[in-house]
Parts: sequence; C-alpha cells; structure tokens
Amino acid sequence: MAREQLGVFEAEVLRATMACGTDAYGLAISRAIEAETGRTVSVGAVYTVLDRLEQKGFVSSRWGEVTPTRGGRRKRLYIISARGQAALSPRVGSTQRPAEPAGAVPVGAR
Amino acid sequence: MEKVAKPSPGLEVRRNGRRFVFRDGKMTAAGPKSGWYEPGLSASEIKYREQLVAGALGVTADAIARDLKRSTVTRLEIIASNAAARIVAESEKRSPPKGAAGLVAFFAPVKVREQLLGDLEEAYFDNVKRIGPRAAKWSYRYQVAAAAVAFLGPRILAWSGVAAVLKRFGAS
Repeated sequence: MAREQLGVFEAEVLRATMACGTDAYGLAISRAIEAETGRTVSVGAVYTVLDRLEQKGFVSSRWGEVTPTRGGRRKRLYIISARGQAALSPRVGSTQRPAEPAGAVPVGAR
Repeated sequence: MEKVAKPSPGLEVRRNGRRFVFRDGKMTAAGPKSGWYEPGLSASEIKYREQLVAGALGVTADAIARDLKRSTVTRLEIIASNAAARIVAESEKRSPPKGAAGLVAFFAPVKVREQLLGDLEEAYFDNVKRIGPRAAKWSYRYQVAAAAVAFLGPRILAWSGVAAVLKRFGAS
C-alpha cells in the first residue's frame, strides 16, 4: 500500500500533537507550533488540519474536561495513532536540519 | 434613631436572566436559587438593606426619589436592579466580543464548534491578563476571521471550481 502523503502543515500539526502528549487540543497544538516555528498559527487552521488527519486515521480524539476559563466548553483531546507516527517518522527533524547538497560527503567518511 | 433589623444572609437579585447576591457589602454572581424578592420582608429590614446597597454603590437619596416618582416599584428593587445592571455591564466589558463568537456558529461545522469556541475563549482570557482587554478583543476577532478563512476557503474554492483547476495543473 502506498504511504499517504503529509503536507508541511499537516506534519507540523502531527509533530506538535505528539509533543503535547496527553494534553493535545487545538490551542495547545497551535502554541506548540508557534514555539517551534515562530509562526503565528490560527486555532481554526489547526482544527481543519486535525479533522483531515482524523479522517486519514493519523490521530484519534476524545472529549476532555470542562474548565472555567473555557466558558463551560469541553476540550477535544487528540492523540497520535501508530499510523500517524509511521507517517511522521521519516520527517522527524527534517525542518530543523537543512538538506545536504547532492554529492556531499558525510563528516568522518574519509 | 430607628433601630434596623439584622439582615438575612444575602439579598438575591435577578437581571438579564442572571442571578446575583448582595452579601458583605459586595454584589457577586449567585447560584441557581429562587428569585430575588423575599415575601414578608419587614420594612425595617428593607431599609437596612437599602442603606447597605446604597452605601456600597454610592447611590444618592435624590436619585432614588426621582426613580420612585416615575415608577411604582419599591426603593429596594430600583437600587438592586441598578446594582445588577452595573455588574452585568462590567462582566460584558470583560467577556469576548459576542458578534465574533456568533460568527463562529455561522461558519464552523457543528463537530468543531464547541472546542473552537472554548479554545478562543481560553486564549482570550490569557490575552486579557497579558495584553489587556482591548487588545485581547482584537486578537479574538482576528482569530475568528482566520478560522473563517480556514473553514470557508476550501469550500469556496471547491464550489467555484478553482481547486479542480489547480489540481489539474499540479498545484495543490
């Protein structure tokens, strides 16, 4: 079976979901992306991507608890699935490390 | 000087569907209890409570007299109602912009509406502490606009056929 492709933002959201652990909800994920990339991310954009990732089976979700600061509304907590981790694994660290130029010799190979 | 009776634990007031209780010189939101008017309240107790509420709010006797001429409601009702109105106004000043929150219900799918509104509200109250209520309101409106673009954008593209054209030419 061909591996499903992940967009750049989808991969960022997936990575942030993994980083947030058991408390991964829209706002926490958007803040994690902001902390990692320095880019402001809207919560709405995060939810559209999370919805797409859930349809693909990369994440699963459940209702969380109500807190007073949320006006009595529940959180939707997301957790990355094994399939999501598999989709992400070749990409981990790809945004932090620039790609090596073609034909470059790794340090210590000579 | 007339001796006033000792007040009962708290005076409940209802305003705009919300309940408030006046206790220890402060008006605060009350729990889900019965209405504010207590039948059988003695005249002296009403007067004592009036003094407490008026003292806490800085209401002048003249203002109360003017209101009484225009209306048949009791003094206590006027003062308590004004106090509750002030609290409602204060709390609305601090709450997220209602129009923007209403827009979310218009464009966001039902399955993400609750968590999206909750997240926006949580971010709003964090921002109130961090950057103040005015900037927090603008940040809230910006987040709602950005969410509208995120949710409506793909639907508009699909509807207009632009997405199909882009896909055909390899741009996703």
